Amino acid sequence: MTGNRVLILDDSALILDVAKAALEDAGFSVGTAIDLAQFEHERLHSRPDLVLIDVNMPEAFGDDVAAVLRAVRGLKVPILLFSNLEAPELEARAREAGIDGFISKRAGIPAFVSRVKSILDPGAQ
Amino acid sequence: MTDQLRARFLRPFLEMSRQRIGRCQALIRQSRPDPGAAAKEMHAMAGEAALIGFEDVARLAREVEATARTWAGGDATGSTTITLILAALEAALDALAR
Repeated sequence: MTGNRVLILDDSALILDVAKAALEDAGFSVGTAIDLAQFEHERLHSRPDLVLIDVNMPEAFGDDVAAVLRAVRGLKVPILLFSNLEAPELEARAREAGIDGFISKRAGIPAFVSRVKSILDPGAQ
Repeated sequence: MTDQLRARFLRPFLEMSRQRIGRCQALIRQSRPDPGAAAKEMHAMAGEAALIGFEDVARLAREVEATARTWAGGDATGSTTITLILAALEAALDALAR
């Protein structure tokens, strides 16, 4: 068990359920948020070690949220975009937002879990 | 692990996907079609399908999304094309359910 805590913001309840189950199976502690209010509540109370943010959401673009978290709110932990957009677009959005990268939903569950492990538990790789 | 998760989330995935297809059909058939909103529904569905590993469904949902975005940009054949791909999507979901 890594014990590291991951917080995921996504407007799809199904994505949140699947991602949470996959990461918990791998030993991570997972918080989820379906909107910005829930996200801020979770973020402030759970102090995550890694934040994953969807891009296309009803309230805001995830890369804009991520940029504010990093530049304005001073969040130091890794922040990654977590989206179904194509990798080149995700890479550009992450770079523009000044955050740590992205995870493509297109890569599937094993790659998703592996990427989170590589960031939070690199010794286990 | 992936197969277990796929089996565990198959039913909610099918339920959610059929709801998304229904909303997409309504959005393109209404008197003032909203292809932009239809594209968002299919973008979300493609992400869910891809993460869980239903790649055929993800590919079809991406086709609808791309067609809806083209339609929103002025392509008059968008509605018919989307209707056909949505039918293929429903067939793909039926195959997963069997």
